[in-house]
Amino acid sequence: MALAACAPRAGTAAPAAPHRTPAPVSTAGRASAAPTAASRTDGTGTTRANSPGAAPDVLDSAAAAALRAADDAGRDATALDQDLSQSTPSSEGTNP
Amino acid sequence: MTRTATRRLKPAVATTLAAGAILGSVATPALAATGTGTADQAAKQAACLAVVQQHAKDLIAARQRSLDALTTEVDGAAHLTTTDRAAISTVISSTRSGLTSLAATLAAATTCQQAHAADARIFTDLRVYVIVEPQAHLLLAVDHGLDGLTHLQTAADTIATAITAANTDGKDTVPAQAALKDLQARIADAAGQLATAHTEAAALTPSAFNADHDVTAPARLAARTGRQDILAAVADVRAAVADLKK
Repeated sequence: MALAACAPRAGTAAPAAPHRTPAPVSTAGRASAAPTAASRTDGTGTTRANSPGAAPDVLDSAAAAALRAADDAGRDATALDQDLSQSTPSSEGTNP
Repeated sequence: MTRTATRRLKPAVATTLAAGAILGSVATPALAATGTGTADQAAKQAACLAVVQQHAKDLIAARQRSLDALTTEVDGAAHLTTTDRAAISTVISSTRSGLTSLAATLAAATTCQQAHAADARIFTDLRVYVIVEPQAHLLLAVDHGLDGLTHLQTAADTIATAITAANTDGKDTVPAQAALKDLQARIADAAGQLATAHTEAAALTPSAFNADHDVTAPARLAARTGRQDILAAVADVRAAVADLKK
């Protein structure tokens, strides 16, 4: 029986799966978690102006999110490989 | 669900030899020429029938167990699309029905030849191990790949936003842009490969295998290529992030 009704998926709607739910990102212990505005406080308590347009926290956050997504994609690739290894036809044996 | 061909083949070969030896004896003209020979022939027919029926019964039971395991695997595959889940379930269900029907046909057989004919249909009509299981695993693989693409697209969007922000800051983002460009190309290629793999997998049938024993190869090749694209795209994400964090 062919699976004629089985159209390729668009690839955007991912059903919920435990391993695909990104873990909440903890900011605990991150010294630069709060000051994303025009100034920041250094380790001596001195308030300094940010470098022009710099938004390291934004970049850090984006980088972390991108890496998490890449990790998830890597896990999917591993799972794909495992499924693929089971897709090789095995012997049916011989019939009498 | 690892199986070995040897494990499956040995009993089948043994039974083939046993049944074949019995059938050979049945067909011996010298025996058929006497009354004793006729009685012997009937006894050997009965013995042959019993051997083939038992062999077929074992084959059917093994396939039913494999389908049980496959059903459990599919039920637990949260990433599977609704469409693919339904399609696989339909194939499993119809294959089970076919096995049940053949079991009834075999039980009703009155000659060794009838049993042989029904036994052969376990292979030619149903192809549990060379079509049903591979087809399900190919669809499972494709859907894992599509999930991977969803994650990669998220990464690409995030990196694009980060590049825009970094450009505003006057940062050199040329390497990150190159990585993003390759990332987007890999995503597009992987999507095409996975679509091909899906189409090929969905079209698999026992009759297609009977005509071409390598019928699953195109789907596996496309899925494997799609996976390579995904791995390359993951590397692109890491490269872009590393550049942006410099």
